Amino acid sequence: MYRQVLRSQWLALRLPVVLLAVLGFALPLLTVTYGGALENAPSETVAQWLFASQKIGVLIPGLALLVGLLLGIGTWAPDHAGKHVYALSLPVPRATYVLLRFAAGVTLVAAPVLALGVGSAVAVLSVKLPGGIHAYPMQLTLRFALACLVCFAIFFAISISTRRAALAVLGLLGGIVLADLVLAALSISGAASVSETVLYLLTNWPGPLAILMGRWALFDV
Amino acid sequence: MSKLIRSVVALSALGAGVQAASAQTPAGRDAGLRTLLARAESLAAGIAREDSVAREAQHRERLATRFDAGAVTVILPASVGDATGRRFVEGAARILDSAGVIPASFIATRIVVAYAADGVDSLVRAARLDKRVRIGADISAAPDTLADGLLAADVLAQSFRGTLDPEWRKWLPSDMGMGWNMRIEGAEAVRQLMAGETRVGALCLGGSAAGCRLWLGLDRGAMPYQAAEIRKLLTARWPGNRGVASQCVGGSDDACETLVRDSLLIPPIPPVPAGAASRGSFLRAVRRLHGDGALRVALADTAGPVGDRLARASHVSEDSLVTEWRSWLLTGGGQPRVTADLRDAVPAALAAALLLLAAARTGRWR
Amino acid sequence: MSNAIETRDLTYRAGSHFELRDVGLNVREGSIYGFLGPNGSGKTTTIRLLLGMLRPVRGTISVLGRRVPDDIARIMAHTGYVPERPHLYPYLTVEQAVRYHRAFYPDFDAAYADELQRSFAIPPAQKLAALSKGEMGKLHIVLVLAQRPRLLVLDEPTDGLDPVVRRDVLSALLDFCSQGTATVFISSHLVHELERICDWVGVLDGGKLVVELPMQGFKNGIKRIRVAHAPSLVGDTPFVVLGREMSGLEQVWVVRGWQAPMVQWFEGVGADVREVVDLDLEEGFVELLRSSRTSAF
Repeated sequence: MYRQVLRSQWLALRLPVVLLAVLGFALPLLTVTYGGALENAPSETVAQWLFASQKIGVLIPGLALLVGLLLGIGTWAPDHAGKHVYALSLPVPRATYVLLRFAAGVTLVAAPVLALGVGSAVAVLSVKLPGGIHAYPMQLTLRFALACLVCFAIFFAISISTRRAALAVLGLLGGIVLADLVLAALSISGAASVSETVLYLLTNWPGPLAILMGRWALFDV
Repeated sequence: MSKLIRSVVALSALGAGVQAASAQTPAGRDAGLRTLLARAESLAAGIAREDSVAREAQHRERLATRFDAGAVTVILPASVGDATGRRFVEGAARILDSAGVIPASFIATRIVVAYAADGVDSLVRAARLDKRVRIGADISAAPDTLADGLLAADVLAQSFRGTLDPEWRKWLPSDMGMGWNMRIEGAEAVRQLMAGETRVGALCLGGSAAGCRLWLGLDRGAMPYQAAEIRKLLTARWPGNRGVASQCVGGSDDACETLVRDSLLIPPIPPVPAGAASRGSFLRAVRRLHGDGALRVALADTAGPVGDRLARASHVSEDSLVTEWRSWLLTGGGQPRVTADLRDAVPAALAAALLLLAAARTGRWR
Repeated sequence: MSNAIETRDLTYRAGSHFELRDVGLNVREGSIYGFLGPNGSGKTTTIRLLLGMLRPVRGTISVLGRRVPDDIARIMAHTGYVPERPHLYPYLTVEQAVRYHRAFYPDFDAAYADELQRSFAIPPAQKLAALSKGEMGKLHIVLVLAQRPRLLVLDEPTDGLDPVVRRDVLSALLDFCSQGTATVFISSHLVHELERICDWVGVLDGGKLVVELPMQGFKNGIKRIRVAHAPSLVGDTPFVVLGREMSGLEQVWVVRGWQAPMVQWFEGVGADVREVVDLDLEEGFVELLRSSRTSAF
């Protein structure tokens, strides 16, 4: 069952998977070419590597977001088109079917992750780093994998949710904005903004989006 | 101006009156003079009264008001206003508390007094603040200069700096690492390190602890510059070479080192290649990584070079200290490098599992 | 004999304009049950309720002896479903679709699927998106028949198909039924088609089950009778009066449950039966609907 679901998902999503894998492979190599192309600096200085690595590094969590979006939404697209009638007519418990789709989706997510790993390895092997700079291909790849997993899960859940659930989430967001407006209108000094607090909780450990934050760099101190 | 005009008019009137009186009979002259004198006196008295009123008003405006917050006491002109004065002193107390570098016991021995305040003496005596050291500060009454209390914190910091031993006074940046404007200073520190103007700077950037120590000027007596670097800096900054400077440019290495060591130039080549922002970032790194207490202990230490004092206070070697700082600076204030351990994996996996559970229970299929 | 499908007081609402009310289906095992009704009567909704795709407001549903939705996965393991609109993934080829479907049914008869594919001439390498309506319809039939199900649920399976394809599909169905004891539940508004294959019929109109009876009784029992001197008021009758209207000096009665000896009832009330005409299923269906919608006699 899993193999067939995976095959079906691959056939539906092979183009975005390949594109994302190409991007994943290219980003670490971009660090090397960008670093080498920086003007007014000798080819192998610490400053140059750090600068290039940081500049390209910020694109990597962006790629994780893109992986999650395309593959998370794309997983359910064929079932959405048929109003889920086929899926509902299959002799598997609903939860099992969701798990099959998720597992197949995660398997496809592995493609850009592996590509990033290979690209990082190639980038590291192709350069001689100056003293004081180290390469972190393994950590970068693993963190990217975790970030892709979280992003994929988010969009996977959003894609399968009902309109009522989506409205509930929108209502919650609206409530947060409203709370901020009320606090501002009442000029309650010292009261932290509700939206800032929520954002802080989400993006700082152990929040779910903390994995996307921080410093993303293949080459670092 | 009106006072001047009035004086001129009075004197003119007096003069005119005297002239007129001198043209009359002696008896008439005496009476006329007496009348003129009386009029002049009356005018002068009026002017004096007006002056007195104006001075009184000015004096009242400048009358001192005292504001306290924590260990910080400031005296400001009354014209500043209570609300602004309160914000000023509380802001200063907040900055100094959060910095934690200057002991509260020192701050309590100082009063920050605005130059423009009047009647300070009586206020100080009445409040029994006689034993405190007054620090005069050019604090204008414009509200925007008083918004955050930075001025008071700064003058207190300079006062504290003045009590430290010469080694510290020579090395410490003016903000003593308290980081009034941390983001700009952090970026400047990184720029200074990455500028690569000196060999020791490049070594430090490359990871050499010895290079960092030299670049930061932590070792007493060590020469952080190469003679060629001094020549280059000299030629760039002061083309009018003279005396020792000419000898240095002419090829004398000793002359070059003397220039730097004795700070003979105006403007000088700094004795330490690391600028104030970089040295400030080093102190901030020590505070962040080893606590405010470590810096306080180091500032109270008077034995050995600055690097030794900081290392002793932090309970690590000097090499470890500079390595930590380098990493802290280059990662934007201690941001962790990319990591992927259990601490990262567990929340991510949990989040994914919860989302999967939510998806499996979707109402779409109920 | 037990029922393959049984519902009690089945009620469902969608918005303010559509309602299924107290539908009580009894589909005997091994029967071919024709589920008739005009467009919009609720046939597809009823089928979706039977297969657990919708939740009723009230009522119970039992399919193959198991409760819906509690045991739906086990029910669907033995149920073949052909929906009103195609629901397979269009980016798959025919061969890939068969392999995908097969993965979910351990008892899938691959050889039978191949045989049916060949007989229907469905090109295996063709993408589903490129199949014609007829080919897609046939593919659906291939998939469900190869499952070897105990219950076949077909929602307007021949709708929009040309006569040749319709004939092929119905033949395959009959052939399948003749091989075993599967129950077939087939919904349609094409009355004449069901007439040939069904042995039971249920009629749904406006969300209500109007009638449920053996096909023979439905076909044979509805008559149009020309009556002279009929009384204006009618009391109890041995048959069900579906409608009456004037035709010149005579009346035309449409009745259900007619049997020949019932002529005596007319004689008893002083009326003359001039003619008894058999109605085909379609005419009978129309009269049935008409009578259920009016509160006539």
